Order: sequence, then structure tokens, then C-alpha cells
Amino acid sequence: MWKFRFVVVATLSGLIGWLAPTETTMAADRDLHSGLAYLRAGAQAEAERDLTRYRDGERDPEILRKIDRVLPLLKRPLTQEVRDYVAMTIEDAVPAKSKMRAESNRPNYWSRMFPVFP
Amino acid sequence: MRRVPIQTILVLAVLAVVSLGAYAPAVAQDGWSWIVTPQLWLTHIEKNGFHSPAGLGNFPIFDPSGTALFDQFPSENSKPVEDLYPQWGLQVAAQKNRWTVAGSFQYVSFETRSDVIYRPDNGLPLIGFSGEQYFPGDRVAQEFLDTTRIDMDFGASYLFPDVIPGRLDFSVGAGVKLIYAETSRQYANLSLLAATLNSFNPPGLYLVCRNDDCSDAGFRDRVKTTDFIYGATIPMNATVHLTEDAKWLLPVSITPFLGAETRDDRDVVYSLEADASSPTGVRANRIDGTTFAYGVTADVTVRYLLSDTVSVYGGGRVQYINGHEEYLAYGPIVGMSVRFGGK
Repeated sequence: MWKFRFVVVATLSGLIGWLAPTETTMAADRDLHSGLAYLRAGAQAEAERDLTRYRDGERDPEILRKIDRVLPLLKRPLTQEVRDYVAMTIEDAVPAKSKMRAESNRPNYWSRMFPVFP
Repeated sequence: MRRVPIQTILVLAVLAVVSLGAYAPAVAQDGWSWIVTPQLWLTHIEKNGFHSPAGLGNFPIFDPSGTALFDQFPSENSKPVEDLYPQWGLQVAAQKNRWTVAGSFQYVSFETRSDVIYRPDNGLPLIGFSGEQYFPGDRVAQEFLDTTRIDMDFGASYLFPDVIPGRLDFSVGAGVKLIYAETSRQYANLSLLAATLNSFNPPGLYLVCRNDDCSDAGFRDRVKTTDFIYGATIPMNATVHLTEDAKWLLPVSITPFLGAETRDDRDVVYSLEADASSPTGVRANRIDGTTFAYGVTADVTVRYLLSDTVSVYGGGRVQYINGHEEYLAYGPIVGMSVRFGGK
């Protein structure tokens, strides 16, 4: 019986392993959007926290550079105009990439092609 | 040698398939891809596909005027002993462009039981050998059927992707199905009357006659039936994309079946009919041989694409087949598909 339990646990662990990368991508996007929302609302500390978290998961050097430049600014008081400008600057760098990511996430037809198992 | 349970073998097979899936990109890019799908269907067997023989009804009972009455003990309330039985399955498919060729194997073992009830035409109570009384509607025995069933399917299908762009795919194909079932049946929980009749020599409540006139009548306490159901299938599938990234899918599959059923019940007699042309005055009523069969299997599941190579699904399935008798089963279904190579 313990052998059966062992293989069930091993199977579940494998499935969780497969799920993890997808969850990470979703979490990163969530951090970006909440960070920008906090920034626009004037909650700079929360914006800094979320954008830092997003930065840690980002690998694109261009986006990394932009966020690295923005993060020190968030420690100072900023006017609404400046906050909007900073948010727009980040969005300009990221949306194209986000869209590309969404497109590439949509699988080709063959990945949805499963035979009927009657 | 100790036997390894089939569940363990199948779980190990799933693990092996998942492990191989991790190396999918390394498989030769020859345009073919392969999908291996282990599946578990928890089946509730509503109708078991077998008709009960007359059993006790083959023994005459006598009304107050001394007239012999037959077939006064019909079988009723057929139902599964357990609510759900696991039907394990494995499918292997090869795909190129929009074509898929697949073969599958499924296995289930289940037990059903039915009540043998005293239902006299004259509505009178029955007095047994020891003076005990049976009233109309009383249960006098139960019949248990142990069935092992193996399903094999082979088919080819063609996909029409995005018939509604970004929303719906459709596929249709053709295939063959073969089902082999073997059933062992016996009576249990006997009343005093049934136990007494069962103890006659030769013992048993199943009437068995090789000759149609039953001139060689004998009794058995356990009988076996083997069954082949075979024919053509038309697997059809419509897959709704539940999300924009098409990672969550809602596949709805319907597979009609048309074919035949060939049954061998080892000369069991289901009832006796009066026949003046027969030397014994009776003729055996049998329910075996080959007959037309038809049916359908329908699934509604939700599938999630974990990656390009692995997806999991869960939902419900119902299956109906009608040949000599009706078979009806339904219940939850889960599975996982792992893709190798190609593209």
C-alpha cells in the first residue's frame, strides 16, 4: 500500500512542478500592474515594493534598466504629473513585450489536438 | 509469484510517461507527434447488459387447483454492488498535420446484483417445503454477476481548427470498437425455499440444456457468459476555448457505435415455452448468439494545457450500448495527455 501512496505523491509532485512556471509568469504580471496602479494612486512605497518584485522576475535587460532608474525616484515625493510620466515610461517599455508574451502563450492548433478516447 | 495490482502498474506507467514527456523536445523533429493518455473513469453501472435467467421460475409451483405455474420469480432491482468501479485506460495516438491515428485499451471489473422476487400471476401466497410462507413481493434469493470487461478502440480523425476563430475546434473520424466481457453468475442469500430447490441433485438453480427441447436438462449453481461487442465508431469532438490563450479547453465528445454482439452463455435457458411440436412439449428460450448492437459514448470534460507537452482533464462520461440487453454506465473521468516529438 505504501508503494501505491508513494507513486501517487510522486505524480502530484511532478504535476505541481509543471504548474509552477505558469504561476510565476502570472504573478510577475500581477506585480507589474499593481505596482503601476499604486504609483498612479500616490502609494509610492507599495509601488516600489511591487515593482521591485516584478524587477526580480524580469530578464529583459531593457526593462530592467528602466525599472532600475525608476526605483530610486520612488523614495522621493513626486508630483502627480511625474508619477504619471514614470508609469507611462514603464508601460511604454513593457506593453509590447506583454502582448508578445500573450501571443506566444496562445498555443498552435496542434497543441489542442487531442483524439477522442471513447 | 506475487501479482502486482493493475492500479500500481498503471500509476507506474503514468510516471514513466510523465518522465519521458520531460524529454519531448529532444525527440526527432520528423513532423510526427505522439500522445500518450492514461485515463481513469469511475463508472456507476446502472444497467449491466445481462438478462437474468428464470432460475427458480424453472421449478413449477402449484395453485390450489393443482395447476403447475412457471416463471413466477422474476429478477428485479438490478444494481451495482459498489457505487463506482474504476475503469482504467491507456490511449496512444500518432499525429501528423491535422490527422490523428489512435488506439486505446480500457479495463474494468464490476459486480452487480439483482433480487429474485416472488410475483405470482394469481396473487396468492406460497407455502414452502417446511410450511414457511412467501407473499407476493417477497425476496427469495439474489443473483450476483461478476464481470470483467476489456475495451479496445482504433480510429483516425481529422481536426478542423478554429471553425469559430479563437473559440471552437471540431474533429470527426472513423474507427472500430471491440469489447470483450466475461461474466460469472451465481445465486446467494437464498431463502429456505430457494436453498431447498438448490440442494436437489444435481444442485443449482440455473437450467442448462444443450438441446432446444431440453431433453438433456441439467442444473448448475454457477454459470459463465462470454460476450463480444464489435463494430464501427464515429468519434466526434467539439472543443470550446474557455480562455483567450486557449489553455483552458472544454472538449465535448460524442462517439456513436454501430455493430453486433456475439454472446455465448453456455446453454443457459432463460425460460421455457410450451411447444406442441417439441418431443418434451417445451422449447428453451435463449438469449445468446449474434445480434445487432448500437450505442454511444459521450464525454464532457475541462482540459488544461500545463505546457506544450502535458495537459490534464476531468469531467464526466456516459456510455450506453444495446445488444442482447442494455448496458448503461456513467461517472466522473480524469486523465492526462503527454505529447512527444513533432512540430
